[in-house]
Order: sequence, then C-alpha cells, then structure tokens
Amino acid sequence: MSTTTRLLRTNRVLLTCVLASLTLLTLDARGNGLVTSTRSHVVDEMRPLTGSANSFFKPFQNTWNGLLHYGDIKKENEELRTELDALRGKQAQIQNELDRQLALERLVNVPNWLDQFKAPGSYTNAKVIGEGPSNFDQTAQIDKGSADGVKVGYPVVNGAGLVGRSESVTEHTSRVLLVTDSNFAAGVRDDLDPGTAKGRGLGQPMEVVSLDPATDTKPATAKVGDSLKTSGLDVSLFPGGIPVATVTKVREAAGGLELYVDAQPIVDLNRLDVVKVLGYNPPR
Amino acid sequence: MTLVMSIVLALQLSLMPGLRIAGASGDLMLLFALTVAMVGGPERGAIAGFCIGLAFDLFLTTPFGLSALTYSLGAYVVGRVQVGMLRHSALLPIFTLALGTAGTVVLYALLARLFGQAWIGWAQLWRVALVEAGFSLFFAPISLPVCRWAMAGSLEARSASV
Repeated sequence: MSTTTRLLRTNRVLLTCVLASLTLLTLDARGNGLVTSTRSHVVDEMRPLTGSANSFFKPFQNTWNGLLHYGDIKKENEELRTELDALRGKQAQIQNELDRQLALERLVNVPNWLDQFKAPGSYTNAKVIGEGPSNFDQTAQIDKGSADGVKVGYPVVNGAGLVGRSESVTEHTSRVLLVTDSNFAAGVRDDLDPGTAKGRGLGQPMEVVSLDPATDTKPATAKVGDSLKTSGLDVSLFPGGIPVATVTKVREAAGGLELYVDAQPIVDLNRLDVVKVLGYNPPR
Repeated sequence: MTLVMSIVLALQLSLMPGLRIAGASGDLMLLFALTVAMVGGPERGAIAGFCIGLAFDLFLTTPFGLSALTYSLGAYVVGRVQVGMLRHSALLPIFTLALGTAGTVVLYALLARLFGQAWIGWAQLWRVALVEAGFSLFFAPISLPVCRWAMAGSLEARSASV
C-alpha cells in the first residue's frame, strides 16, 4: 500500500470517527431517549462489578491518601481532638440555646430547612457509592434510583447542607452533580440579598454573583463569614433555606455594578457518606 | 483488546477517583487510547480512541460522544507523531504519551465549552492537564507493554499483509 493511499485511508477513518461522535453529541443534545436509556442500562448492569471493584480498591485508595496527606491528616487529627474537647464543654450550653431557638422559630413560624421534608415519602436516604470518574465531572454516585422515587433535578443534602442535585438517574443508582461542578448553579441569599452561586470545579470555592445592580448597599451587606442559603425564590430549583456555603472573599467588579463573592461549600464533599434526596419539584 | 479495555474501565471507575493529586486524578482511559495509537499507528488509534471514549462516556454526565471525539482526535495526533519517531528511544514514547495526555485534556475542555459545558478556567485546566500528564508518565511504562501484548496478533497480521 503506498504512503498516499494509507494516509487517505487513515484520514477517512478519522473523519468517520469524528462524524460518528458529532452525530452522537447531536442526538444527546436533542435529548434522544436511546442515548439516555443506553447510559442508564449500562450503569445499572455494571453496578455489581463497579461495586465490587470499589470495595477491592478502597484499601489502595486509603493507603494513597494516607501517604499523600500524612502530615495534613496528623495535623487535622490533633486539631479535631482539641476541637472535640472544646465542643464537649459547650454541648450542654448549645443544647439549651437550641431548644430555645426551636421554640422561638415555632412561635414566629420560621421553617427549619428540613422540616418540610420530614414526612415519609418526601425524601430518600442514600449512600454515596462512588465519585466522579473524570476531572471534568464533579459528581458522586448514590445507591438510589428511579425505583426508589429519585428523579432528575431533585436536591441532595446531608446534615450540613446542600450537596448538589441529581443529574442522571438509573433504576437503582443516581449521579449527583456536586455544588462544585462548573455546571452547577443555585439561587442563594445571605440575610438580605439574592445572588447566584456557581460551582468552579475541583475543590475550588464557589463563586456568587449578585445580578442586582440597583442595590446600592450590596458591597456593604456581604461580608466574610456570612452564611449563604438557597433563596427558594419562584424560579429556584431548590427549596429555600438550605445552607450552601460560607463567604470567604468579597470582590467588587469594575464599575461596582456586580458583586463577586467566593464561598466555601458548607458540606465537606471529600467525605460524603450518607445523603438525603429531597422529593422537591420546583414550581413551574 | 476488549478484555484489556474492560479492565482499564473498571480501574478508571473504581480506583482512579480515589487517587487524587491537587484534587485531580489520572485518566487511564485516555492513556489507553493514546497507547494504542503509539503502538498501532494513527488509524488504529483513532478507532480505539473513539471506542474507548464512547465506553467512558456511558458513565459520565458530560455530553455523550465528547470523550469519543476528543480521544479519537488525541490518539490520531499521537499516532501521527509516533510514525516519525526515533525507534531506539525508550523514553520518548513515554514522554509523548504524557504530552499527548495534556494536549487532549486541553482539547477536551475547549470542545466541552463548545458543546455548552461551563468553562472551568485556565488555571484549573492547566492543573488538571499537568496532573493527568503526571499520571500518564507514571502508568505509561505499564500501558505500553500491555498494549503491545494485547495487539501482538493484529500487528503481526498487518506486517504480513504489508
């Protein structure tokens, strides 16, 4: 076979691969059911295998993390011991204050963020069984799917706050788009002002953009340490009041029309274990 | 070859997410596609990249076909590079695979943006590319002989036909 013929054939092969990929991308973008159902079936069928492989490789991962972060873990352990001692002392005092706060909230009818999902059937408890396999995919896999009532778009929380939302659901598992994913966005608010929190990927702080130039007092209201919660406004994908992040840095865009805020997610996404999927359908 | 791909996929899904440096992990699927191109040339590389990327796409939430497209292009380029490579160098293929990994990661991010995914930022992209290239550098000495072994039969058949 001559070099020119071979080159032409190779280019033809590449062109075929590119065209096939583009066709699949187009089908997926148009929401083709075949693509979604194939993905769903394959993930479900592979679940026993990936589950066993996860268990098998867990010791290797633990060893790796132990070796790589030995100093950090040791330091963190010491800090946690100190913190634990301090917390034990404060526990009784906090319990009293909590009881009083709950009584006050009931009095003025301020809902706790999980109160509306206390009824059986309004939530599903799930276990995190895997992390995102790609660096461009900040996700976690949970062991509950459509058979357990999970639907695409449902908010996922744990005891600390918002973890993310269900992005793809198979019969027995779901993939949760974490708050740090660059495709994640949620309407949030501090005490007074609304904004949009967006993920920036790979353990980066979230970025909150205020899109309300008319609010002159905006720069003064957001400050480091503020707690941001889901806004629960009309078009929001999440119910209101779920803790999302804590403000770590406040920046003002040129012209002062927009306020940019860096915020650290409240949930420790590296140590997800059990989560709660809330059966929340946003108002249309 | 299918068996090797299945094993690599299982490793990528279960082992690699837990092995992270600076928040990023390696991409064995991409390394496997590039290694096939390094061993078998651009044509096989493009086909393997497409198939491997497609298999990986089934487990991601990113647009379906994006990995197939990127891996195919990345493997084709690496295959083209290896055609003109010095045969006696043992280290050159390993560094080419690492460089190919970094390049394909950047291409992936750019194409992802083109297909409507949010942009992760250049700083993060370089970090991911660097970490993935590092992992490729580490795993390439294993992936190269494995691929040569898996493709031994088909390579001999091709040599005979030429």
